[in-house]
Amino acid sequence: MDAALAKEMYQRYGYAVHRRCLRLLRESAAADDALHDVFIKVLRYRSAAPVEHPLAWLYTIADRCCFDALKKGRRLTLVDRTEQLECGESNGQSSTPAADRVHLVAQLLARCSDRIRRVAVLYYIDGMTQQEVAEAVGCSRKTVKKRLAAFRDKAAANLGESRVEELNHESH
Amino acid sequence: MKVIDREEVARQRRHPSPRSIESFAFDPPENHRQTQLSDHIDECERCQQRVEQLRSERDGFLTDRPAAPFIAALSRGTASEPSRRFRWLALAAAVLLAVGTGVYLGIPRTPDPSSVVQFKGGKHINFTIFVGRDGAPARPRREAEPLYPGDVIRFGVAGAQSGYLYIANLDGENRFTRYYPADKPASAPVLKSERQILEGSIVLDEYLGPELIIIFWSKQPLDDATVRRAVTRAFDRAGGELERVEVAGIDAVVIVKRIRKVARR
Repeated sequence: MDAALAKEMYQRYGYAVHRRCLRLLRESAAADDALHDVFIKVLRYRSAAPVEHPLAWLYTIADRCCFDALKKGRRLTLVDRTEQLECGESNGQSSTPAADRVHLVAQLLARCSDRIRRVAVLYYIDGMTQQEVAEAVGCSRKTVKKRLAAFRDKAAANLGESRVEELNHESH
Repeated sequence: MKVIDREEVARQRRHPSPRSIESFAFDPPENHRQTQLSDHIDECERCQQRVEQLRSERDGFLTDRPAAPFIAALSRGTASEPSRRFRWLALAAAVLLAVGTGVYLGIPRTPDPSSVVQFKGGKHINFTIFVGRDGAPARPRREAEPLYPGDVIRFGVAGAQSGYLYIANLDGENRFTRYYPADKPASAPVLKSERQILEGSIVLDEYLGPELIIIFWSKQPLDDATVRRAVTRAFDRAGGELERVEVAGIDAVVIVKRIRKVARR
């Protein structure tokens, strides 16, 4: 993609991408790194065809960058973070229940397979209904439910059954 | 299970999803004319405030981090990398007629299981990729076998059911090439038969790296635009990462074969 188009995309969606990265990673410097990585990929995208849904496309790239960062352990581990949540600590970052919830979900998602992650991101991070997720992913609602159940199993294994319901709280 | 169902019901009753609100706030206005979403926002004060808040936050963000220097810095970084443009000039998937090549092709006795598909309630169809190298007789490609520039590939079909076939190629830069049929922009009918080698062959270019060969087997013909749209959507959904591409939303059985081209030693 040429620089002029990338610039236009940044002006329109750069803030949205940065905001998403910040929600997933919770650290401003890490979100800056992720924003940089996302737009490097945008500049390398050389298809002549226009991107049909730019925001969805950018979010997909951003998610990948953030989950890779979380997987590489550059961020807090799930166990550490969970302990902090229980103690009410905030690691110097502004901490709200919604922000904690999103970060917790993000850390769990980083440990999931792509199939589960794609569905769980749209449901837990983007707040879509199961039907909306099914349409966005291109599968049946039954498949969405199955993958969400697999995600909750994963969450229960990591957090304990009693805390799985926390994941559902609204973050709007 | 009760927890998630309750949550789902609550979601269905409430305002549009945060993602929809973001899309409304940031996408060009023409994308949202006369939609259910825009109708809701027109009448919902809370959602209007949210949209305004997001737009205002964006303005602040751009004041702190203006686009021009950000993109200029990135462009300088990417410009120092070797351009990949010219590696693709040779691709174009040159299609050669097989007649007269003297290439022997055989259906494998043990088909690659991932290449076997069937319509719901239908019979199995087996697809095989054949590789010809350095003038040697073509043979079925082994699973995960790397390919070299200059290799000649062809496709074989065996099955007891007729259908329509379309074979596409997608590379890491989202370049779409139709492999089969070569002569018309739509899937071609394939009659049931024990074995048949499809007309045409592909000479692989000098580009190195991963690519996808995507096979669409359908009961009804598919046009070029439909297939391209489905593949482009899949690529976008995968964030431009080939290994994550899953083609959906098209009325066909789809097989995605992942190939990798490496340099000759």
